[in-house]
Amino acid sequence: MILKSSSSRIVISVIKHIVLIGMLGFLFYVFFGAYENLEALYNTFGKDYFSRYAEAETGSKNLVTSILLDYRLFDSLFEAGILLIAVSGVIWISRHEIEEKNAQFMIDKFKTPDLFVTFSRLVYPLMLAFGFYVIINGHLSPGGGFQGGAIVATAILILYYIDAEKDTNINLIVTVEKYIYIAILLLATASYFTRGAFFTNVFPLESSADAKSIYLVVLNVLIGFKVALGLWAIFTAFLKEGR
Amino acid sequence: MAFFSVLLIIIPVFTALVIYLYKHSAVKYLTFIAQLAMTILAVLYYREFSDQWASTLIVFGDWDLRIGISLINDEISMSFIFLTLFSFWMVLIYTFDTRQSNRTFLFFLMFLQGVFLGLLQTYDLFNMFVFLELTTILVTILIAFKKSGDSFRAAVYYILLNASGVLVFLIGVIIMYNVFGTINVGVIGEAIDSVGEATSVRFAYVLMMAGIAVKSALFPVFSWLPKAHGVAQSAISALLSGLIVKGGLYMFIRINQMFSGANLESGEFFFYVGAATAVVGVLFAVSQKDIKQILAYHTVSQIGIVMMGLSSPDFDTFYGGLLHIFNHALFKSLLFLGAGVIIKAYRTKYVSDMRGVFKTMPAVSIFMIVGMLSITGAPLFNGFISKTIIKYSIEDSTLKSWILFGVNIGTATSFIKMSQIFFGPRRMTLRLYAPFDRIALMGFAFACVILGNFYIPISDGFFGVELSYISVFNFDAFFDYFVALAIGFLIYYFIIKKDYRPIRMIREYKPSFQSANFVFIMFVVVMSVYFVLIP
Amino acid sequence: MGDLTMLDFTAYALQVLLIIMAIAIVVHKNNGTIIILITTFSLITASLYVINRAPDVAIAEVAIGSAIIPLIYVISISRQREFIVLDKAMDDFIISDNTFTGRGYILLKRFTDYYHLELNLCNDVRLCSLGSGKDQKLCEDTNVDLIVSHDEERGVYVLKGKASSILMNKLEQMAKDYDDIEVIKFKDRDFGD
Repeated sequence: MILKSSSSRIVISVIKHIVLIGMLGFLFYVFFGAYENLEALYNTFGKDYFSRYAEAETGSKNLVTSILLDYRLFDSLFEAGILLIAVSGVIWISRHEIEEKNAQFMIDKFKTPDLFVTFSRLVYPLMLAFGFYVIINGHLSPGGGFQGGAIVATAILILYYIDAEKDTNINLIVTVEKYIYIAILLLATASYFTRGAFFTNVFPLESSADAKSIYLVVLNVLIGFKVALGLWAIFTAFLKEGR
Repeated sequence: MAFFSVLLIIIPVFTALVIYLYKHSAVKYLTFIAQLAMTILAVLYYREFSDQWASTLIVFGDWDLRIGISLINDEISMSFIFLTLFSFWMVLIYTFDTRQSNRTFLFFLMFLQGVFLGLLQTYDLFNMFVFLELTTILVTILIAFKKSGDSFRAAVYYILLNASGVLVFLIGVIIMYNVFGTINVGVIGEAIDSVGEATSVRFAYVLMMAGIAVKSALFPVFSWLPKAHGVAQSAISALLSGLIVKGGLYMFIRINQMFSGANLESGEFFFYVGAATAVVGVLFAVSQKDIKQILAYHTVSQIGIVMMGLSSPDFDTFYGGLLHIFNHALFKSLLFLGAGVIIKAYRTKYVSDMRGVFKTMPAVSIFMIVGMLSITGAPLFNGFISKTIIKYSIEDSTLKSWILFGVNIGTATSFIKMSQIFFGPRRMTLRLYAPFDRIALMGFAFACVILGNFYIPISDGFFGVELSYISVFNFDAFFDYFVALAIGFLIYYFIIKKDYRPIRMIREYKPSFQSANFVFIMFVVVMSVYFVLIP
Repeated sequence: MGDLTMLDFTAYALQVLLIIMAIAIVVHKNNGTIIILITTFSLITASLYVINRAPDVAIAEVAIGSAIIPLIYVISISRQREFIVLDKAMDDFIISDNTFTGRGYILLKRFTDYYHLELNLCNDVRLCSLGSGKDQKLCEDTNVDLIVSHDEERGVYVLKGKASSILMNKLEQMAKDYDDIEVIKFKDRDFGD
């Protein structure tokens, strides 16, 4: 390629930046114009329907959980599937043929300060309990399987602060995670046999809120465990890679 | 019976999970059993519903149509479903290895099939987003499956660009939900007549189309395709070029159908986008030396031709584009799988190093020749049919006809260059143990020939389209084809073979990721100016 | 402007801060700073979610964006900063008298200092005993970046690494000054399908 002199390169780069800012500003202007227009057109059908009927039809006080686990369960299954695929992909890419790559390092400076270790030991059971609380109460207060699973995963990661050389069996984690995903799929399809429709609550529409919440709690727990195991597996793969 | 459509999604996903979990080596036969089950279900489903597509609508959970997620099928989605099943059959046969089973590979492959079949049938915008995202991630992992440096770079480039595209699509979906209160495609399609002129609706269209343009590798956001399809394993490249990129085109069809009441006049704009894609693709393809890069750039250019057909509001042109999608899927997969066999045997990927393929591997050569004749549009093969339909429909405009003619010449040039591999003496090559790959090639080649000759009953029976005005056995067709070949040969001999400086510069032009982003933003801006500001 | 409540004002201020953080993330070069900025970005978005009355999303954003993502980034960036050298020479090229004063060590230290990397030497007995034919596979399969060995016949020290790593070019340049140090780069073996 023809070598440009450095001053013309600077000029080109400045022009590029100005054009970029101009384009982004233009998009912002169009977006703003669309937004003003939106206020007149705003259709509240979805909002009204959910606020009026969701609690009665799904047995969950938390509207978000009712949408995630009942109205749009099909989406949530594949969202969980995204996490499953991401975990499997990360494990595959980080897997090497030489099994134990524990080349002894002459200089190994990694040692967690004692303050962190003590603090982590204090915080770990609290975080775990809070995570379980968020999972199980997903249908009554903000939370649910996905959120609680992330919190439980964070709690488990604190264990690595305490003991960095911890030996974890990634294959076991991933296998259990896949079995849980199969269980979720089966539970979601089970509604076809009890209710005649796919991917919704197992209990029929007329049953009490308590009965429906059994299904919601079970599904939340399964999703929570699956998410926690998946995130734990990703973290372990990163930690093991290169040790 | 209507629930078969759900089974088509669930069976591959289940099979994938089972294959991963059970370590017994016989588990790889499960893929064939699952594939057979799905084919039978699809055929029964088609026969049941072929004149009453509206009754295929399923709403999950039996909720109100505007609240729940729904699936629906019609002729277009059924034809895509059959194409998917056929492509995956062939790829499974091609990669089948009786001595070992790569369970992780089959896991990702079958999961991809389930997700793609879901994408084809869904009738809900956010569901489309979820499936698009899932397809992106699965394809990234499959591109990086070889674990070589080039594959990782291509996979990272792919996921960054495509994830931004899908994100822009999501913003469009959010705007639509705010305007309509529902994200069911059918309900929006009916309600859009009244609000079609609004800025927000048009801006949502622009955003959704930008995302779809990235997924379909249109100009100017196609730069991920040559990188990704050129370095992946051949079976994966065949699947990507043949099928997954067509998913983006399928979404283009669906979103356009949804917005048809809004009078957006998008036909001319997307025709020129398609024309630009076709021209740029063929220009790059002619300058490449790596066989898989050549094929990848040709995918870009053929997608441009498809877009020239799909963009028009006239049904016949649209049908030409649709037919070219299927034809391209068949012959491009054939070419990629054949290229894979040749690369494995010759241990090189450069066309100039490959000679004597015809004497060394006659069966593979014959199938590759079938593929090359199809892509250049020879009569008696399937490429001719769709290219002729598009040619007839744009013959009123001289500019458009010349563009199409130029692209055809470029394609001919490039494949004449590639056909040099057949000449020459026989070579000693490594015969790797892959017993069934010839069968996969034969399957695709047969499909090309069948579609090239029996297009009238197939189009009539499946789509109800009358194609008898296209005749294969007339003198004009052959004459035009040989003229194109002759001009292609002259261009090859006098220009390409000498490898002049401009050609080398085109080959070595590698756009950076920064410029790809810049171009993407510019594309969104140009579309908003055209669709939102001007009207 | 009359009905602009405190909450609205906070929301606008946070959104402006968000844009500033985004520009800061793009402009900064130091990876550590960027991780902290990403974490702050995630926390600000979580607060915005709470202000817009979406606590579910806020919980998810905090857990993932402020706890798991920074951990993963920190681990991967700290791995990247190491340059791992396998010493098969076993003589005083790198270590003499149990201190790091060998000529090879000085060269490698200059090299890693140039790129702000951390030099990590190892001499695992099991890996060292693998024959030199397996060196390329060793580089590909494990995370070893450089293999130092002594070619007895020619009396040179051979440094082997992957050609796809851009750092090797610089090492080659630096090693030109030394007569008895040779740099070999393994090309990526990728003609398989």
